[in-house]
Amino acid sequence: MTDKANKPQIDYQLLRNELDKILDELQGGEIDIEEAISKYERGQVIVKQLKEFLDGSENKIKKLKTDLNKKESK
Amino acid sequence: MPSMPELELSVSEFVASLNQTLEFAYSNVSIAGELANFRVSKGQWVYFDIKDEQASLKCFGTVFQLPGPLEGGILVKVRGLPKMHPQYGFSFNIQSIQPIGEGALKKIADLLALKLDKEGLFDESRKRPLPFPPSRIGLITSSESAAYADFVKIINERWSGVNIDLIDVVVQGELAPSSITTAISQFNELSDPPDVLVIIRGGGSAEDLWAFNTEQVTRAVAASRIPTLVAIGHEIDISLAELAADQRASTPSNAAQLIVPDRRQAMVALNNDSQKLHRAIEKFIDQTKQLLANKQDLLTDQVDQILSRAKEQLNTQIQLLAVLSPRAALDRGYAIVRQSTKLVRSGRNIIPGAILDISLIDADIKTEVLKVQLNAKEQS
Repeated sequence: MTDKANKPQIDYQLLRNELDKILDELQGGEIDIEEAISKYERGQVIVKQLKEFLDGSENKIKKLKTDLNKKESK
Repeated sequence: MPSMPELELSVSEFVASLNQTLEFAYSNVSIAGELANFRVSKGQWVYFDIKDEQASLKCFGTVFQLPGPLEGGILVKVRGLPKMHPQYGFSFNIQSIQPIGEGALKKIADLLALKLDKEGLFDESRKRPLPFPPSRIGLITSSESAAYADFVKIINERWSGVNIDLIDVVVQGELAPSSITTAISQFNELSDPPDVLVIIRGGGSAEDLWAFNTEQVTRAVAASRIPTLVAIGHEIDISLAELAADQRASTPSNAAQLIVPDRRQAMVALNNDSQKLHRAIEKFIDQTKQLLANKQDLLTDQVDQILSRAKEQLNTQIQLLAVLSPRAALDRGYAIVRQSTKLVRSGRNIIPGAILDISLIDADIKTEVLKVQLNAKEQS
């Protein structure tokens, strides 16, 4: 459970891919205006999240216990 | 000198007692010498002699204790326990073998490289892409090392939001191979494993870096289900573990540079994309507006056409009307005759003395009828 808590709140790569897809779709121009505007709004939300991620979060280091003895006695 | 009391023992008792004594006296011994008569039996048991100019010692062990394939003539340091086997006699039971000196190290590494290469362990086709950037890194190194400090420092400078799980290992000496392989399997056995394994060690002598040229470590790296990035020593050092990894970095600092993007570059790219997003929606809206304007033009054109057609029809009707108008007849010299506003079409009911109104193009005349003469055709 602590592993989950330590995970960053966003998946950078996933959001980055979504933004690329939105750009492709908007530049392709084959969607209707309502969809285009909702994609654009989603794109802005992603940009904001990514900027906050790049500005904000810190790297966390956790030491795991080594289990050398257990392994060797196996 | 008092004489010792005589011990009377069975053979088994003597062998057991001897082994106890040997174990007590040589609990921690390593022997250096040249390897000779090396052979492997049933792919599992290893027999060889270790010797110098005067003496030779029989050694026994398993293939799992070898750093890799060996051959005679190599200088090695053997750690183990002397043992008297109840049936097969005396041998030195090995716990580990370490090559001594750069020549031996290189020779062993070359032999192992040849063997593992044949097995396809270093094949390009085995290499998996590393997640970029990873959200969780499993780091295997010594937490005391400069390599560790450099790696963490550069990661912190470049990127944010990475979780680094560290397993602190021994990176040189006899314990290093098992310490490193244990860490690799520990990460692989986690129910929620990291996205990538990073194994790093700073520069050192060939002997210092030896663990990363052992079969044990090289195989563990190749077998890792988690993709691996290995960086050992300086740029010029290439270990077998690095060759078996999915990606190799020239130094621990280089590993940190390869594994995460640069925050500043990412920010520039993001700002670019943000502008692209704005431009794309503006262009989209412009295009939609243009489309609308085109439709409006089309609509106007069509309404214009309908109107002008209606006008044309009207004109034709007006002209027709003009042709049919009685006034047109007056124009041509005809006259209209009325009797008290009623149009006179026939002379039958007109009698002399009747008052008629005659309209000409330019005058109205009131007149009295003097005589009515019906046409012959009308009379009949």
